Amino acid sequence: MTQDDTLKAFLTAATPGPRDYAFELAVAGRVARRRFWMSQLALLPWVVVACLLTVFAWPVMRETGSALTPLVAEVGMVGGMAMLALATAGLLVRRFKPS
Amino acid sequence: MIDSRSDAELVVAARSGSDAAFSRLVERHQAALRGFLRPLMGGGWAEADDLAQEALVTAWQRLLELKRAEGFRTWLMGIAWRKAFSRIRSTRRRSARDLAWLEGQGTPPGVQPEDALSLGRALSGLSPPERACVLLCLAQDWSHAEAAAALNLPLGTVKSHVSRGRTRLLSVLGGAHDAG
Repeated sequence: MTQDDTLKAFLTAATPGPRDYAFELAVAGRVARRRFWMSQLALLPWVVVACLLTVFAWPVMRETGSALTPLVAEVGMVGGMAMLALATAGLLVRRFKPS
Repeated sequence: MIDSRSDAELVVAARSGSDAAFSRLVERHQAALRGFLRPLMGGGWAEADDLAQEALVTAWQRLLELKRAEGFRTWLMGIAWRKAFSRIRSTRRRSARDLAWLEGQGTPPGVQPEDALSLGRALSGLSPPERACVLLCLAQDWSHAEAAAALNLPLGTVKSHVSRGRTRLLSVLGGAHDAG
């Protein structure tokens, strides 16, 4: 064994095996967490816009509120169903997308 | 099943949202990445592995910034190097970290315990850029040009770091060493 071989053996001693499922799983978990926080961050501008709209629309909503009350249940139900359908479609697309 | 796709193909798939493709890239490069960071960091292996995970997550997040998809390996190692260098510089307990690494290293097969100890001390005596050049070129068999691209150093600097580092490491083994 030459000195260069000894040196190389020493320098590569800390290299792990070609597969490490625990490490790969940990990376996948961190990627999932990062994606979650990125998606939350992406929503932030829309939350700000929604807040501003609410502030500016509040006087109008206060005046027309009583007239809109009967529609709240219907609009909420349709909106909820639409959101649920969109979320499910998004999850299915991500889950079954070919790599 | 072995995925025969090239890095470039996997990068393109990962960019379009495929987690499976990115997992293949992680699987393919994790050993080299950790093998580079562990001796480079000079601390415990857990810290180096944590940094490797951080580098991979950063790579995932910045995949769109990668100009040449086939250069994923070099680009990833560059991300890891910048993170490691920043962390090494930020710590004020350099000597304590180096000793911790020596204790955790153990004796590699084919290396005498006293040689491993001397090499460990000599390696920790190199500057971080010298250590990085030595690890990439002598341990991972990268070309000088590849190492220069990953570490963002001039080619001549890499060559001199490798040459000086090798000489210093071989000198602690004692006796004459073959040139090359």
